[in-house]
Amino acid sequence: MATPLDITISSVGYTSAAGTGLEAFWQQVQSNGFTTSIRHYDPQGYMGAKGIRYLNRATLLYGNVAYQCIADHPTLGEFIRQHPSQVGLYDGSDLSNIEDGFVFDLVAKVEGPDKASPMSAPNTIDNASSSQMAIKAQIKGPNVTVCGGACAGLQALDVSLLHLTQGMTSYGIVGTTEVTSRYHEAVRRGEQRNTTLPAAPEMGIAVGVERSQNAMPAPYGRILSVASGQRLTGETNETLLARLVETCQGPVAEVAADYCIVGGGGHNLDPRQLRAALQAAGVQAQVLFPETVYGVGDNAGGLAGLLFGLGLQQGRGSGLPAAYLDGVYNDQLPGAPQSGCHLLATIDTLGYGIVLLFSKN
Amino acid sequence: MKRVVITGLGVVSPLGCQLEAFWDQLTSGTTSVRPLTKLDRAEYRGNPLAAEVQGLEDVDLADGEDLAPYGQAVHYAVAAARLSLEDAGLPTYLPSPNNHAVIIGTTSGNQDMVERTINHFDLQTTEDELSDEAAQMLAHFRPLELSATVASYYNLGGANLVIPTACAAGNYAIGTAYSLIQQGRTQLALAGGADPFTRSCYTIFYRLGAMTQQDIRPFDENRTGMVVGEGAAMLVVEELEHALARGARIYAEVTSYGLSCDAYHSTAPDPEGSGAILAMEAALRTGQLTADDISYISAHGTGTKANDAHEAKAMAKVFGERLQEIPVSGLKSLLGHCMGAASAFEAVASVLSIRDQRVPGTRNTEKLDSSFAIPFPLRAASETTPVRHVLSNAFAFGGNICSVIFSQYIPR
Repeated sequence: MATPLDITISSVGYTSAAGTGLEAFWQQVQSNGFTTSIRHYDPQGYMGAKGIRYLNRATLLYGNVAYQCIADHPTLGEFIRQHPSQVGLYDGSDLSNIEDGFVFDLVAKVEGPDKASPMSAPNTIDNASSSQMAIKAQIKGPNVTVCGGACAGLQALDVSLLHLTQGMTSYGIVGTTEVTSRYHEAVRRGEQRNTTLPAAPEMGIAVGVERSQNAMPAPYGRILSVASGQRLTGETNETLLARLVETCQGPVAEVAADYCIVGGGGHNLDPRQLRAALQAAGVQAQVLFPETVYGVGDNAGGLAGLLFGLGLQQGRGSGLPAAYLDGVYNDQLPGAPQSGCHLLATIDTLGYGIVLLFSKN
Repeated sequence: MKRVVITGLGVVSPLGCQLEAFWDQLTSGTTSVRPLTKLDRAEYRGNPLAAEVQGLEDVDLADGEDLAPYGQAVHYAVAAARLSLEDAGLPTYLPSPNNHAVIIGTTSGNQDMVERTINHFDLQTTEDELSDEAAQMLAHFRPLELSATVASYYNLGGANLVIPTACAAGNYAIGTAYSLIQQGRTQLALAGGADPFTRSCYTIFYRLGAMTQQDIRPFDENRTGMVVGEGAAMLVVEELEHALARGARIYAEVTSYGLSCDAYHSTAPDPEGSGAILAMEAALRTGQLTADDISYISAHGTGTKANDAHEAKAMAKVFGERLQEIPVSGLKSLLGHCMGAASAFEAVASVLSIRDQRVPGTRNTEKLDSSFAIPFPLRAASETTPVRHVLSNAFAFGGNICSVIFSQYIPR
């Protein structure tokens, strides 16, 4: 059973090829698709100049969106200065170190271990991004990276919620980054058994979370419940998600979700079967697959879906392009939400899923 | 508040894969450190040593999926998970439906799949083509395969996470399992750590000058460094009522854990021990314990100058003069530094020290570093002593730190 939560999303950071901030996200949504490659991973230079050549792109991007999260909050920067151990940093990762690991090992093998640079060592480990951000921002609370594939962003969010709920932290900054390289492309190609799936659009997303009782006015939304799980024998991806949705809605049974947004791993689902599984579980929410229009993400897909859902709650659905209405994936253009409560579902190729129930304030 | 207990243990270690033999060797001071065999010794100057897994071939995985395409750590994790389930008296195929969790910490994840791809396809440059066949091999790099494969192998339907917080990752996994159970998300979790032996990992510590050419001597005045190891350890972490209801043997209780970050340097610890102090204090505070309650400290104790100095400083700050009375051990002198699995092995040893009321010794350390502000008992041989609460420290690159407190289970 999931635990009922009362967590506020109080700040947001976003960086992509279209620029930084939520408006850049919506500009891309409106344009029917995200540009794949970013030119500047830390355009504001938050991570500074010293030692920057040793930071990989994922670290620059993570630092950029995490700093946006701090700047977007009226008191968080000062809180970090006064209580550095009460703030947690969380990174939902998957392949952020694959390019560095490949190059490091290639040098060790071809040129010999004495030629491999020790300065490259930190980037070969997946925890580099949140660790570097901690050093830069002097954040001394929990520093957790999780590798969850398409579910990584929401998994990192889940761990931050555990810590907030247990009183281990007062704030969590949860980020995830999508960068591409020929090695990322190869993993995606290999995993899809060489079927064609376009490269994930590069982006970084971060959200700041805190307990609702402590939150400042005008936050972005509230998280009510979360559930995650692995496909059991006999389950399909669709029935797994339906099980998780039931678990997620259980503690807040009075809430009826308007939409179930599939953000991350939507290509692993059959839309009709998902709708049928949800209906069999008594869930009447309309299913939306925005990724089919703006691009299939890997580990950033979940938090991209969250931004999309928060936007719907703020009335941004009315201006969406027709592509969100057409095609096999979508039921209908999102209209005015009724309860203002949405489900967000993500499923990884390895049969792991996570579901989040969230609402406007 | 739900209580969380340990009911099963499994190891795939440089000291073998039999739990009692593993413990016997730890308490008798048997070392697993031997000359390096998994890489070409001629490539590394001096006397390259390693702590390589022994006895994996003795672990019967029955009729499960062929693990050959997967990374080595997946194989280690699947084997350790099976041993832990068997030790807990659980079936090795859990009935549906269930929401049992799997949480695995790691440093290198499936980095060996990168190396396998480079070797198999004889790649020479970053421009070499990655064929479709190479892409399919490389796809097994994904770290999530560690926990997802374990979950699929044993039909575990709950949360599954891979936490790549390097050398502290095993403790992170146990702490996260504790949180999930306390918050009612699951009643049972497999938690631990797994790491393969990789060329990259070995080369990193070689190039950082952190590896000894001799013996690992934690906290010794003349310590010269660590030795890279590998393996996996998994613990069955269970909600107390769930364990009691099925009549499980209870090894120990997980009382609390503390997380922090040094926020100091990507590969060096804060010399002042700021993160270590925060983590230990957080574990004591949330466990409603004081320094006086701790009966044994399983130190991170890598045997490097920087780590041991900062850990000694942090322990002195947290425990004060009381530190002189608390047995401390550095198990990496026996096991090598098994990366993401290291603190999971140390968790297993902590739990067994509670079961047997016996703490293992520290091999090779002859003279405690006289620069430490407060000396502490670090003995060569294991000793019988009352063990009520154990503090187990784990530190990592990036300043990621986790301290866990394990306690003797006492019914209330």
